[in-house]
Amino acid sequence: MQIEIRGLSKTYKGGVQALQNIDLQIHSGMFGLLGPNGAGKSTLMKILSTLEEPSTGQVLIDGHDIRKHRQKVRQSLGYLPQFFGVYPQLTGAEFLAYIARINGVAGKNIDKIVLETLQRVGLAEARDRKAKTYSGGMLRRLGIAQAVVHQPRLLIVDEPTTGLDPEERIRFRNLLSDISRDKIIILSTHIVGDISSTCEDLAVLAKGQVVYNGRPDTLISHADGKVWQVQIDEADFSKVADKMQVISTINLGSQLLLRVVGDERANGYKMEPVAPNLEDAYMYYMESVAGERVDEDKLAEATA
Amino acid sequence: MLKSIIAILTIAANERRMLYRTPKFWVLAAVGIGFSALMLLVTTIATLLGNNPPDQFFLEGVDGYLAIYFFSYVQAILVVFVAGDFRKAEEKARLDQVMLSRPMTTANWVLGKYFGVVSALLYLNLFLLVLAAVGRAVKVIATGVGFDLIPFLTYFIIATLPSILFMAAFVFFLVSLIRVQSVAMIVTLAYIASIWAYFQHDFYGLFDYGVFFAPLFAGDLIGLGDISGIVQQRLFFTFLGFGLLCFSIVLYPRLKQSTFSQTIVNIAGIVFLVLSALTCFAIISQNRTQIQKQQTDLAAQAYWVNTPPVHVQHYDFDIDYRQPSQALQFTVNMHLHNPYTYALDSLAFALNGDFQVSEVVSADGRALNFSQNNQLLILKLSKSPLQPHATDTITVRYSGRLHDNGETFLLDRLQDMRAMLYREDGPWIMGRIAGYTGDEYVILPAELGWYPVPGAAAGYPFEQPRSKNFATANFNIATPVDYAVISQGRRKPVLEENGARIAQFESNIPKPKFSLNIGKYQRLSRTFGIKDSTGKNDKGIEIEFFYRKNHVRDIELFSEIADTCFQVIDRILEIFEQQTGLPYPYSKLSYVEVPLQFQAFATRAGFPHSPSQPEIIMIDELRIAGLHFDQQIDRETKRARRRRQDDTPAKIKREVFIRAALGMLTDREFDYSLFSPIPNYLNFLLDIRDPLLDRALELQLYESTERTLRQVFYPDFWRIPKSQLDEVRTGGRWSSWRFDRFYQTDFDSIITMLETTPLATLRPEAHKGLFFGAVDYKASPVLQILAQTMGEENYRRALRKLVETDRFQPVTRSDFLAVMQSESKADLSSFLEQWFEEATFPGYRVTSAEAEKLDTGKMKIAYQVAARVQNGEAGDGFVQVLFHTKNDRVSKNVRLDGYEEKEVLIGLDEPPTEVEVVPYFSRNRGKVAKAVDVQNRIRRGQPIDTVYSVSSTVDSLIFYLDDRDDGFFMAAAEEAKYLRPEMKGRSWWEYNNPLGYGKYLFGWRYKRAGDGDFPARWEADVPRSGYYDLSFNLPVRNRWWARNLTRRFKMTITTADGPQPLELRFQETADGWVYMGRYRFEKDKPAVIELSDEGQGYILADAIRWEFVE
Repeated sequence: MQIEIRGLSKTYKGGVQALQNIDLQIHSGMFGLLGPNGAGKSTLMKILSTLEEPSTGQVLIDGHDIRKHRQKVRQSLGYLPQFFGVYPQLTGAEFLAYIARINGVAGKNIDKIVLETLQRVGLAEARDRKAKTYSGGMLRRLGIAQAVVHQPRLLIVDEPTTGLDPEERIRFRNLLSDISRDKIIILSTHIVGDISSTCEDLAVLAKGQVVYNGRPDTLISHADGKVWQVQIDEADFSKVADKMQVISTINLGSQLLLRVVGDERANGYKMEPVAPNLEDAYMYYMESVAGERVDEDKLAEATA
Repeated sequence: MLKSIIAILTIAANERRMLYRTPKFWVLAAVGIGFSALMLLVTTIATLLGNNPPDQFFLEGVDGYLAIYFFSYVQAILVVFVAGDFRKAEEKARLDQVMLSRPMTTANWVLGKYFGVVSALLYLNLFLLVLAAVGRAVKVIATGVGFDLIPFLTYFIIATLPSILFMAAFVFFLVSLIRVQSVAMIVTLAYIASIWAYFQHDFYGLFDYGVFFAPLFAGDLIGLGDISGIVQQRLFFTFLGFGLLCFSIVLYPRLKQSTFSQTIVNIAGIVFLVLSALTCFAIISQNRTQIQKQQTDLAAQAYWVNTPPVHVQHYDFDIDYRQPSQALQFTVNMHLHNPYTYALDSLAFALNGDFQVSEVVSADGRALNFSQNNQLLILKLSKSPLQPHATDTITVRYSGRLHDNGETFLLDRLQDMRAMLYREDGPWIMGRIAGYTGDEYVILPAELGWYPVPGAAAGYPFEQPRSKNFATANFNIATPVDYAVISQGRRKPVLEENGARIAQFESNIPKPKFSLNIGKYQRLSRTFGIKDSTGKNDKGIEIEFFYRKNHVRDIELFSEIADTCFQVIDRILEIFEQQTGLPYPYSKLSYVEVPLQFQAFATRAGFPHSPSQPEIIMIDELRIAGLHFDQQIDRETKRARRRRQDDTPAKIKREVFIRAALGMLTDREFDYSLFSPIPNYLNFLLDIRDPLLDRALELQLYESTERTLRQVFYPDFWRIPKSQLDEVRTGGRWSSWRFDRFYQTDFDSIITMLETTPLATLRPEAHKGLFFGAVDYKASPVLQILAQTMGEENYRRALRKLVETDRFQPVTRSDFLAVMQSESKADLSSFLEQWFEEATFPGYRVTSAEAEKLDTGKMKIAYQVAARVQNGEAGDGFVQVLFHTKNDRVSKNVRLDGYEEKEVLIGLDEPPTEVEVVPYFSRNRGKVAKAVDVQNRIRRGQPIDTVYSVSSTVDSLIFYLDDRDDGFFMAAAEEAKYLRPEMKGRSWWEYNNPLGYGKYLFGWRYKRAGDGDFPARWEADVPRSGYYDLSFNLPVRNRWWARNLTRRFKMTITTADGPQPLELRFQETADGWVYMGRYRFEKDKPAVIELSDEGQGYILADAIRWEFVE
């Protein structure tokens, strides 16, 4: 399976340009879509899941134009949006059976498929509970269950781990890895950790444009020799932060241990080079290539 | 396609499941179902306990209809709330993106949701129908009533299904278009409210999505009648619904799945809208065409209205109904007579256009030229005109079946028949069926114009109605063997040939109209002898009763008291003869059951009337369906046992029989004389040219018999004989409701009109309901006054003479008065002018009632009673003054001119208790009476009976402020200020009682004692400064609740000298007035009495009397 995006642009009413001339090729496996808020990730997700019409450009999914062959695309599509809820009147199993049916799963297999899917996402025991009583993690798992119950070849998952605790997040990542065989899973997130641990390919979006498209290790290699660790007095923090992008800060009592990224080390401090990871590389890339500095709160969340 | 259907069904099933798990849905559904289910439960239990619910509940399809009908009102609101959620439900659940990225088409999605809502509601309706069927089954077992599934399903399919389909689609469309759910719902609710409150069945029913106002009520006799118009209206709403639904799909905010599916939806939407537009156009155009046709028809009558008609002396009817599913075949021989001094070369007959004339043949077999247009059959006799005073015979052959329930033509009612056709609204819609020709029944009153009637079809002015054509007739009516036939004349032996039955009638007494009923009736008959003055049987009257088999059960129950029953009928016939002074003129009287949708329609000059025909009374099946004598007898037996009465079964059965018989003769519903045979005694024998007199005579005779029937058969209940209209006139129970219901007006409007407009100048076209209300209110009492003035015996003798001398002839008002005058020897020349042509509306009160004991010297005390009665209004008045004693009453008729007061003296052997004024018509509401103050001293003398005028006792220096006068106020809580006037006093309640003070409406106000927050106030404008004696009216003697009155009335009197407190002790005085003291008041300064509501028990506020002293 393959997705080919050519010259894709989306301009909303009022002239807001969400996507500009996007070109991407996505192959089977997990594909990460990184970018800060407002970068256009969700717009791209909605276009891919046939909820939005592109303004220009073409999207081919297995050769089917997304504009012309929506039914084909929708048949092969599973979608978990960023905000996912449930019908309060239905149990988990009823909800899943309903989704399976409208996805065209034959009636006689429904019960079996529903049960298997629920077992896969660890909700078999809660299947007869009203879905509105599920915890946040359970709801996300039900979300992924509804997205895969009809065994789609393309799964689009938008910010799936937002708000989950670390344990649920890891569980969720493993679940995605588990179901990624023979399909394309597009994982849109601004949490770098989700992608680093699961995706073979990724694209970084900034201001509606793809600023990077490739393997994660290639992105990391861009940051080789650009990441340092330095121990400074608290009073010097602002001087360092002005010159370099601070990725993490550890309080050591009267001193701070900073992890920073930048083209040049700051003079006057004893800076030790360290091996970059995907977060470092993403930060470096966004700063130096895309010219977009990620704010520290987002950074904290991304590296959590 | 299959996938689409599966997707739609899946979505619909899920939608329905979710609705059924939504509390909001059940709350609203429970309201609707609960009400309908409760009604079913109550009627079922009532039936089981032997307490018959109203007659309607015995009709075979009624339970299903009513359940669904009532539910449909709540359902309309339920649809709005349920369907209104269709776009928001997923958004609220944060599932919109998930659901809209599924592979179903938008059409599948919207249709699935739509059918989910529709099916959820349909299941509720089916559930209700099952409940109704269970209730019905219980009734079938308990009472043996019939059960017919077809009406259950018909209502469901015709009324409910299109309503839900349209309403859900309408809401879907509005929500899609407006996109703000709350606004869309408000718009929808406003639409529903506008249907209920305003549009109703106006504009050809094109707004009435639920056919709430269409007569869908199925009669057991003919089902629903012709409902093609209703089906057309339902198709309009269904098409419109589907069209709107398609555009809801188009407007749905989702990227289209495929161009093909969207194209299909667009095309379907346009097709459905075009279909609905075409249906709408068809409905409008059919209605307009019909109205235009009626106007054209009416215009075409003008020439013939002014052309004297030929006289048909005799009809020979040959009617072929051997094949009920085919057109009725008529062959009518008419024996014509030219009563004029000039030849007639063209003849006009009114004939219903639904019957097509095939040929007209002269006596010698020549085909005559004719044309049939505009409900007229015109014969051209140019070659051989009908010479002066000559006779001739022609034969007319025609055939056909009635269309549209006979709505397209009613004799004399072309101009406004549509307005006349609706009998009632709501679930008890009686429908618009004026005539019927179907496979099982033929119902053709003369007003349907089913045979050639000389003259124009309509258009005769009110003042000069159509002349009655009195004719004799013979009938030969061929039907299948199991059909009964009812028409005018003596029955001749029935012939049977070739599997057909030929019923024959011979009507030798000329009649003004003829009717025809054919149907699968059961027949019950008995000939009753009417004795003449010598005691011999003068002649026999055969009373026939034609009914549907299921509608009257257990008639055999009366077999053991058959003689008693026959005596009752004999007695009833005697009363009719005694009260009218006229013998019943025909050999039979047939009561025929007709479907409940059969309307009461206007006959002559716009007076509403039943299709009451000579010798035949068509009685709607509602009156018969509920006659379950076994249950009535059981119930009465239990009641007698409970009251420890030792009524024998025979006595109970007699009572049940009497009730049924009187129920048949009187009408509570429409125009009172609807089912009475009264018109047979006089109106069908004379051609009374004055419509007002015609109706007045009919109603006066009807009321006279009704009063007597009630008093003869229920003497304990009716001490003072009253007709039902008397009760309405005196503000009895349901009076306001009846005015509103029957005349679409109220009592006050009638008074206001009659104060300024003489009865004779009112016109039905101009005054509509007011006209009929005023005529019923005043016309009959005027003749009652005439009867009292000239003596009842003289009056009856005069009527008899009128019928003898003017039988089958035109009778004018002068003819009528001349006969009255000659029989009474009194000058009555201006009587009708006085009462019909002057605007009078009296109001009465008893100003005093005193008695003194007389020693007559015959070892016996007599009582001389003196009562003063006043007519407080300008117009002439006439009352009956009743002097009640404990065991008896004596009456005296008193005429009271405008503002006149008369003293009526009468001697009684027993102590008088009360003087009561019974007005024939007046503005009084309720009883007008006064307790008699009997003085203890005994005077020697003889009692005097006389009446004389006195000067009015109302001195200008004595005035009264009553609780209904302008100067009376009750403290009202601020929040209560928008309430009705009678409620404004919050806890001050009205109590109407003749002991209270009042001008024409007697009574007072009372409330439970409070903490002084709600005082009553009387504010007077004193006519001059000075001292006044004040009295407070306490008219509560011997009343049970007088015991609960406060013993001390706390008052504050604002005088010229400032406020003065007063604590008035409870007292009983002879005349009810309790003296409050003497106070000084100044003109133009406050003169106020405030009664606090402090005290214990109840506080009473009636009137204050101000007597100027100096």
